[in-house]
Amino acid sequence: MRSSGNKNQYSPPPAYLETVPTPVNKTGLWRFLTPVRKEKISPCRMLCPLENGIPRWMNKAREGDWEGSWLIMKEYNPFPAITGYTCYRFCQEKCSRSSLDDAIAIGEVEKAIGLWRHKNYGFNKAASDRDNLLKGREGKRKKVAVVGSGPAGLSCAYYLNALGAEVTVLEKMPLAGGLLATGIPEYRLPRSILKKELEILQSEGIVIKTGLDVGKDISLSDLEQNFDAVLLAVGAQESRPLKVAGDDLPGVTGAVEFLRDIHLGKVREVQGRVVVVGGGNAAVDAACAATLQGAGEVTLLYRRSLEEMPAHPDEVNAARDAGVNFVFQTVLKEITGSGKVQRVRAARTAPSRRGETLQILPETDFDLECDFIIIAAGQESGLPKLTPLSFSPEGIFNNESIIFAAGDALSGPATVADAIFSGRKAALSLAGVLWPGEGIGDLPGIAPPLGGKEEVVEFDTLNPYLFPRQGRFSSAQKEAGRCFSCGICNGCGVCWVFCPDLAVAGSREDFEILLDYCKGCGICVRECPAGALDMEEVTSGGA
Amino acid sequence: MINTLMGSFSQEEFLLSGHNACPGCGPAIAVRHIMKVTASRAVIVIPASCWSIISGVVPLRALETVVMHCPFPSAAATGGGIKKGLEAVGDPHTQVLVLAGDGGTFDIGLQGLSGAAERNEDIIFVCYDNEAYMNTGMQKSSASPYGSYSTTTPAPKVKGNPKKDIMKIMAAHQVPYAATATIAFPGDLSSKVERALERKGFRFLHILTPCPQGWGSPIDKTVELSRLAVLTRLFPLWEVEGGVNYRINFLPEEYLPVNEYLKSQKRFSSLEQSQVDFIQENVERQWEELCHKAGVANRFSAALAGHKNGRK
Repeated sequence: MRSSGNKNQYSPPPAYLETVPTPVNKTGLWRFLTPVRKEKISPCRMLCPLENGIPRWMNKAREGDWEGSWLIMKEYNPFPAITGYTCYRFCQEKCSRSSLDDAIAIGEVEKAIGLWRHKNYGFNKAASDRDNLLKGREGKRKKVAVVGSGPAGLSCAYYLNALGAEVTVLEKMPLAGGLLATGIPEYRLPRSILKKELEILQSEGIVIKTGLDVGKDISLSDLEQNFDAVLLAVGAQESRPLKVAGDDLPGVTGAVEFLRDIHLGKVREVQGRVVVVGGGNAAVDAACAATLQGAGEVTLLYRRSLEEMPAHPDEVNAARDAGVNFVFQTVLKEITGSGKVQRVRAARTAPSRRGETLQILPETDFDLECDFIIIAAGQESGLPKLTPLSFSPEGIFNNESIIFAAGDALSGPATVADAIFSGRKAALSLAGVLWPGEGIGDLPGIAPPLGGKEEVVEFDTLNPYLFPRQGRFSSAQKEAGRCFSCGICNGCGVCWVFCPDLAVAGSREDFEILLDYCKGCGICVRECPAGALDMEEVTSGGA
Repeated sequence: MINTLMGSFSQEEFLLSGHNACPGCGPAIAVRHIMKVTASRAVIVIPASCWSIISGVVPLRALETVVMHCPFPSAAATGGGIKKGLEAVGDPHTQVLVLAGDGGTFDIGLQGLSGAAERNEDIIFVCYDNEAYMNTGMQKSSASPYGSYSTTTPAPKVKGNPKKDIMKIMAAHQVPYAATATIAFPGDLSSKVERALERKGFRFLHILTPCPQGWGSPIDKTVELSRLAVLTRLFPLWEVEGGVNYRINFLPEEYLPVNEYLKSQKRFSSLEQSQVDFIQENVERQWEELCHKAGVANRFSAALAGHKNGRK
């Protein structure tokens, strides 16, 4: 038995202190393949007309950092509140999360960021951002005229203003906002949102002049003389005529004109039976609007089938709910009536796909009684009326020119998001001309368009097992927490947790692989829930 | 939001880089997480096993604590002896953690283990189970599963007997704490080490640690295989206290078919469908039994829930 005195004499042998710690053993020499951090494009960004870097601001929103998410958002989209309401959410169609449970409600999170900005503008420094971007550019004022105050014009105006240009927006309508004010139905975009957005733009220094028609009140050459650059974002607001007998009768109108008159308050009531011709969003919007204005019966004629309709399914469903009758595979042949529209003659067509020639079936003619006809057979750009110049697909007249074009005017009718993207690209090109050699394209404040060669994240490279299945949340912050963050490292630390060689070091967001010790097993690559790591053969560097 | 089973972990490391484990080593990940919890509070006892190499050939040292190497059959006895010795010199606080492979637990170490468990020695016995004698060249052990290839059970004469159920043996000893854990659920693993540290007496942890070299699986699939073993319920995560209180720690959202686990391992490549069915039946039976013991309703006992296409 040991006496209690012996305990005090005992001291542990210091043997292990004489050993050599294993870090002298550079196990990185065993490696064949090296994990490399490689950010990729998420499927949502690929489908977004704006190429919006969605996972980047999702990662901020998940932490409740609305300020941070707005600062990222505005690099891509300066009007998240507007797109949050109006966009058809192409991004959600291929969300990786939909393979696990349900796609992220990206549009709702975007809307929340936009509304945060509206609420905090003037109170929060990041929300009122003109000063942040203007830093060091005060002496570089250039004057830019933007013709048309639609989403494309406003987006270009926003970015150029932020870069230090003096921007004047000219709008021929008494209301600013282009199609946002006179085309998109109120139930899709509350006008208070547009009003707030315009207010913000004006308080940031953009001058918006309404009721000034370029070509009538002021000529394009005047603008060229008085401004350093001119952007034409006049939209595609001229309804294409149908060219059938009787299309000049009273009671026949174009969809764009019809919607515009409703929004400007010129048309307050529609009575009797209405026939709408066309299958695009304008046709469906006009049909809905006619129903809302009190039309007795609204019938929409489309020459092909429901599947071929260019209108977005959301719109079609909304119109069905509103009580619009859809008649497919039918063309309008003739409009008749004495003094005003009384009936139309239509005929059936054989099934065909978009782009194929249409075959009208013989002896299928029938008559429809109606009092009002809305033609939505496409819209034409307002550019040819204004200028004989022709523009490249990028909207540039030529390299020395200071006239640019953007939006629907350039591309034909498209979505709000497309127009905002077009405005952003125009702002980048214009900046290159206005301030040559300043490398504006590399400014962190404006995201350049994708090159089209970026790698898109595939679902197989993600790690859905790390996420429990759950439905959507009503809170935007919680909903953002469901995002896989495809292709973008969000510092979750999974690579660090599973590394058997302790070769992942540094902070969570800014980790590095210790090449001296990484044996190249690739567990980090396989386990990464964002697919932001790749195994590559690295010949130089390392241990 | 990452699954809560990921847990949060101490930033401090007690396993050092440059250790001798093969690329993609499962046991290395397991011990790294165990050591994050025990820190340098524990003395490690290692019998002959992979870890006697990984922890460093003299004079190298990969673990930042005192390590005692001992002969193959005597891991539990050595651990118990060290604990008694520590108590005798007036240190009742230092924990003794035995780190044995499946050979040193299921086969060669079984008598020592049983004795120590019966005497209720105050040690934590961790069995990191890679299901064969991987260190010496992949010979079969009694932990090798039914149908698996090894150098002593080469195809087509693969192992024809099921894996020894070591957890049942430990539960029969009525030890204060016994639990299963695996590296794909490190949060669960560390909380079990914590629970073991809180208790006194003989504590047993059975940790499944895939071995890419021995199992013939891609080296980057170590963690994935460990996860699939749990999701297919071949290796459920559960614990038992005093041999009576059973608790299942993780109920899979969906039951994957065993083939999901078997198909990416070469050691199962000679299996025929009837053998796969046999493994599946075995899993269902054992799961039913475990659910019954833990008092959990077996949610999908009637039919195996389909494998959702979306999952990898």
